[in-house]
Amino acid sequence: MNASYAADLELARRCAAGEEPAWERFVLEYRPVLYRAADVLDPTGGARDLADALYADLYSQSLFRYYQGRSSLATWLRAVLSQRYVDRLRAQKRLEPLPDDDRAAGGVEGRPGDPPDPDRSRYLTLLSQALARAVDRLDSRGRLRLGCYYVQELTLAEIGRLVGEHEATVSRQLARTRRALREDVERQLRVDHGLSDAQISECFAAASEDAGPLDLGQLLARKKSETDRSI
Amino acid sequence: MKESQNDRDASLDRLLASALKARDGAAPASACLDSETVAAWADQALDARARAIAEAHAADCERCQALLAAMVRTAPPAAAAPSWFRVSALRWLVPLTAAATAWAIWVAVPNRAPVQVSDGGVAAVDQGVPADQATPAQEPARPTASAPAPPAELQAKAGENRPPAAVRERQESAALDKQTAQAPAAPVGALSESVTIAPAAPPTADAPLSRTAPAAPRALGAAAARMSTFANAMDMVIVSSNPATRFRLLPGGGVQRSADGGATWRTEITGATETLTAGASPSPSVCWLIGPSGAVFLSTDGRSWRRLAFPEAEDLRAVTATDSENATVTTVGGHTFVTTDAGQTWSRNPDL
Repeated sequence: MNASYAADLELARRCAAGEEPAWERFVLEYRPVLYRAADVLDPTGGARDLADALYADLYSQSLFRYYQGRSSLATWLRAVLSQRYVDRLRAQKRLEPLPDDDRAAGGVEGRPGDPPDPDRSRYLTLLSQALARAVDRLDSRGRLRLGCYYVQELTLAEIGRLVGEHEATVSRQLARTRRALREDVERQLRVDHGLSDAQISECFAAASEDAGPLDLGQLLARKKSETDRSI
Repeated sequence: MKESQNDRDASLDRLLASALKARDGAAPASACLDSETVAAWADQALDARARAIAEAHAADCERCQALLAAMVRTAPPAAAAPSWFRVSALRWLVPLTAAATAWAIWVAVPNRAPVQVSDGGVAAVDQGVPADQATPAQEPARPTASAPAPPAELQAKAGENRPPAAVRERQESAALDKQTAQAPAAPVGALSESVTIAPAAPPTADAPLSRTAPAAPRALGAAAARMSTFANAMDMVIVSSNPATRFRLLPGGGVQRSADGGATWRTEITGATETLTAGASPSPSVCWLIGPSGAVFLSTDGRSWRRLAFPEAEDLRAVTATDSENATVTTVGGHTFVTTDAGQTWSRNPDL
């Protein structure tokens, strides 16, 4: 337990014990925290029901016993709410219908109306595999920055708050990481796959916006299943 | 060549999101971060080893990254800890601000008594005379370089001196900045308002917690009966003594009621045209609502509402109630009115 949060822990303990003044104080001080966080997570109000449910669980199921005082009570409440929100989003995502088979089988589409380009698929596969290996070689901080930036779409300042760096540092590190990734990918394509400079350019061109939509996740998954079958 | 590198970087940008998503769940052998750990991370309370373990897991776990991202986005602006460099860069401001403040007080206070000088010709304050032994006349004018700058002031200055944002690489980032900066604005106001006015509500709300207080029954009962919920348009759910029953205040006088803990809401007809701002529900069927210009509404069955006559046209800020007959309403001016007959008559408590 962090001594800084002793008062919060005491309040949680008393709420868990059913002491009315403690619960009253909790309601007044912390319910706005929950609702504010819910409104930030979903400005349309879609997360308010989660806040209400959490509030009810705190009351009826005494979730307070899980609070160990390692953070402030307000931060812990935000964490529990955020966890429920993220898990619900992911559950909804799993329930979304899968794309139709034709598209799933391809993973790479050309421009509308164009015939499928086998070279593009091959180049993209090489490029994506090289990129995956390059990402593997990054340290965890580098991968975390990348994930927060490209997947979670946090701002540089937000990433900085998360990892304890200034946003300018995050910006520099992201640029450095991307350069390192490109150089690693280029090296792999040249050395491991024996591609010429022109072919390497073709690989990158295959992933450019002008080359049409792509779904790298499907491409990698399909490649992985092919590899598994071959083993 | 440079253009070629930029094109390749753009291609990598396009691939990276998919490539990183495809890694989800591939590497982490450890369990996902629990709420305690995430909260401790957000409060910078993890030790170095625990932080490294958590970071190694989050680096390859999309779920935990999303959780951390949600934590960053929901962090209250005031709680966003300044980066270490900002603290160190502004550290010199503390004594400077204190000295400037002290000098300003020294100049601004015209009737200060002359500083008493000891026999040795050294001001008493310099001899380490404790503050409680100093003469009252000396106190206001005594310049002291050790006066600490208020933390809030320091925070504000940190914000003012914040360097301009570094390179923003994407328009999305700017848009996201705007979203995260603007979205919390109203709720933050709601929070501060609630906290500010909370002491005026139930007498026990801000009372220090007594370690010897006996455990109360789990049912909220009287506690909820005394409970007053301060409201504004963004944050207004009034929970009854039975948490399954709630009332939600909407802009423009709208009121909704939920009987299932907030899962579903039904709109009530109150007749209010003004945005109601607070309420108290001592039991699931009884709810008192207040608003601007002396607006007071009461429901004794949780469904039908009636407007009560209130002696003042002042805006109302808080209400506490014990049942359908007894309630206390506080105006924004701090005046308190009590009714013991369901709002038929009101008596004004003497102002403190």
